[in-house]
Amino acid sequence: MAEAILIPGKTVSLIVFLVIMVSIYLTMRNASKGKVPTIRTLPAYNAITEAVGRAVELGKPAHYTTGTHSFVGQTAGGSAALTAGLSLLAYISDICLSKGATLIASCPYPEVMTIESEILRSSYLKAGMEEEYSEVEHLRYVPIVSSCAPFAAGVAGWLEREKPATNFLLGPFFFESLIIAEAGYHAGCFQVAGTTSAGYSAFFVACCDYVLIGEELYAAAALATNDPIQAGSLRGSDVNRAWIIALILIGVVVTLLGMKPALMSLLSI
Amino acid sequence: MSFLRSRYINVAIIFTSAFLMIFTYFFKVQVLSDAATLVQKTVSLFAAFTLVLGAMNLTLIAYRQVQKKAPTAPFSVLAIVVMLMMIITGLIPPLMNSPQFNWMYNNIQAPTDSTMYAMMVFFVASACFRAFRARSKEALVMLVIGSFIIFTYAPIGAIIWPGLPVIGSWIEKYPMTGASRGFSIGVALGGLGIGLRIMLGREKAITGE
Repeated sequence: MAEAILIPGKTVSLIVFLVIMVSIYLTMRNASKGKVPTIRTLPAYNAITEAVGRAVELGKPAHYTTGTHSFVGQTAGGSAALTAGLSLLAYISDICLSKGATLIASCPYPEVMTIESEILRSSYLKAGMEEEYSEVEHLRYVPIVSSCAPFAAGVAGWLEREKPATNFLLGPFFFESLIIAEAGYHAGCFQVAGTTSAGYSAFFVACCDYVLIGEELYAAAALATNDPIQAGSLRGSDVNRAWIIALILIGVVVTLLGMKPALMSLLSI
Repeated sequence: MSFLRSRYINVAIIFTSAFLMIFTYFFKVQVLSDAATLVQKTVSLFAAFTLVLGAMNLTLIAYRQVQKKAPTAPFSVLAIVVMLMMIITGLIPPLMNSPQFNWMYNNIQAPTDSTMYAMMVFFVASACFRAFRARSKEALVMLVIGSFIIFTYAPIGAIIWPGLPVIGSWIEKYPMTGASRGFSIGVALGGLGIGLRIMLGREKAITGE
């Protein structure tokens, strides 16, 4: 029987991880039993319907991209943002179909493209318009190779040529965020964006009409799915935030008392 | 074969894979570490297969452009030709390292990548011009703080007043770092919530539902 050995230096992080996961699970369970927390309205989320309406009025397509991140071999944080972006794709695709707008998605990774294709197909199926869905018409694979530049160039060029009415940029982004958002601005698009990176959120704030900053992207995904479990997990994040703030304050007090070395040795267990 | 399309199968695979990754991050068990490595390699292999779908999508879009005689048709043809050339030169032994492949990479792909990256400076200037207009109190705060940061890094800042870089560095070191860490903690907590929902099969987007 193989012996499980806890890797040195990871005891505290394991405890923190377990506390966070258990508390999120409990709030999710409470939500599923009917104690659904309310989520405050987000202006950027409310602007999605307006953005789709604009596409219908102008008779032009709406464009959507989840950014340049894949589920394979990249960070967990980016994957979480990508998951939120995919939830919002399903929601926005449903709105587009109900209002009669065309949604075109651009994707840099083929493995994400297959998921997006399934989401769009499900959306058309729900709307009873399965025959009208075409992967070539509604989904554009713009390959990413060694950097985000080919994707940025491909999407920016398409925005410039086709001039869609609306541009949604929701998911994990790198430097291409600025290139695409600027191209969208110059093409006259109404832009709704959101990402979980602090640095790249600034680019969106500068270029877009509405922005979901940081974890607001997760909140928007929860609002979009209208799922009590998702709302419950957001409540779990808030509960954890409260005790993390308390821990930070304890850390400040301990440091001011000159006991920082003792605290650091405790945390390195 | 509807059994294979069942979402319970998907959830079981996702839960097992995620559990393996988490467990081997905290604990050292050789058998499970080997299994986790196998899962990672398998995922990369599946991802490589989907490349064919991506290439097909690209080719079909280019074909439509040519068929419609769109003004962008020549560029579409060029994209497909370059893609085929990269595939063919990449297959020449030694795989992905033949002189022809390296020549194309170093003389076509790398310079175009760098060009796009260099163009960022114009996009940044254009975006800054719009962002740095004091339309509200928040925008005014951003304008003032942004100006301090610009003068911290621009050589002229210290010439105008030696205190400018000092204030800029203080802003970067304390308020900016504090805000950035708060931002990261919030995002990480949200990410853990999504991770748990994926593991428990409560996140429909991931399976394309």
